[in-house]
Amino acid sequence: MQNVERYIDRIIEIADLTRKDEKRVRSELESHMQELLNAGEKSGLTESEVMNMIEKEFGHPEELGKMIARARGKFRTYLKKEARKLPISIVVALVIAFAVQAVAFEAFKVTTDAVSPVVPKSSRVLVNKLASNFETNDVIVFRSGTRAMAGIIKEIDGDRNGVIVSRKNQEDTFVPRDKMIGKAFFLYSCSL
Amino acid sequence: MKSRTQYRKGCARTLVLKILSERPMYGYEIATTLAQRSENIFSLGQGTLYPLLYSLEKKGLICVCKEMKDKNSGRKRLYYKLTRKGEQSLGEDLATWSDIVKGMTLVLRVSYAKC
Repeated sequence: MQNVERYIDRIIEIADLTRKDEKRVRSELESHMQELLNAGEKSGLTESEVMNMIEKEFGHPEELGKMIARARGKFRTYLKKEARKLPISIVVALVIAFAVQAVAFEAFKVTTDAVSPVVPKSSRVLVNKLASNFETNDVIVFRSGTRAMAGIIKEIDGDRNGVIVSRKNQEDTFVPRDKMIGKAFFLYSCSL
Repeated sequence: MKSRTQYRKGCARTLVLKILSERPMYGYEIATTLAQRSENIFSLGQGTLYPLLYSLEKKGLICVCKEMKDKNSGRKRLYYKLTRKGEQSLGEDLATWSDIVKGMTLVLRVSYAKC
C-alpha cells in the first residue's frame, strides 16, 4: 500500500491541482488502485506484482500527472490560484507604498524657478523625510500653508529651532523644524 | 505500437460515452467493463481513463451524479453519468464511427483485392 501512496503522491504533485480537485483525484485514484490490489490478491498475486501491473497499466506517474493537469485545466487552476492572491498583493503593495511615502521618501515636482539653478523649474525631487542633519546650501522642501515649497537653506537658526530659507526673488523666510518636510537628495529634470 | 495507442485514445472517448449511456458507473467499473467487453484490447487504457473522464467532465459531456460508499470496503466511489450534451455527442461519435468503418472498409477492400 505504501508504494501505491507514493505513486499517487507523485501524480498529484505533477498535476498541481486546486485543493478541492486534488482531494477528489486522490481519493478516486486510491480507490481504483485498492480495487486492483484486492483483485490481484484474489488471484494470488503479491503486492509488488500488482504494483508492477499498476505501473504498466497506468504508465509513468509523471505522464499521468501531466495528462490529468491538462484534462482538468492546469492553466485555469494556475490562473485561479494567482487571481486569488492578486488582491492581497495589490493591498500589500499599496500599504507599503503609502507607508514609505508617509515616513521616508516622497517625490515632489518643483513648479517654479525659486530654487534654480540648483533645481530648475519643472524638475522632480525625491525628499528624504528621515533626514535630521541639515546644513547650509541644502535643498529642502517645507510646508507653507497647504502647499509644499522648495528652498535652499541659507542659515541654520538653532535658537528658534528652524532654518532660514532663501528663494529666488523672494525675501528670506524662517521655517520652523516641524514645517520642514525633508531634504531633497535626488534631483532630475523632466523638461529637456 | 504508437499508432495503436493513438487509435485507442481516439476510440476510448466514444466507448466511455457509450458505456455510461447504459448506466452510471465509477472509474474502476468503467475500466473493467471496457476490458471485458473489448476482450482486453482496451484494458491498457486505465492510465488514460481518468484524464479522459476529467476532460469529458470539463466539456460537460459527463457529470458526477452520485458519491457512494461501498458497503464492504468503505471506499468512496464517484459515479459518472452522461449529460444531455454527452448523449448528443455520443450520437455524433457513432455516426462518425460508422462513416469511418464504411470508408476504411471500402478503401482497404479495394487495395486487398488488388494484391
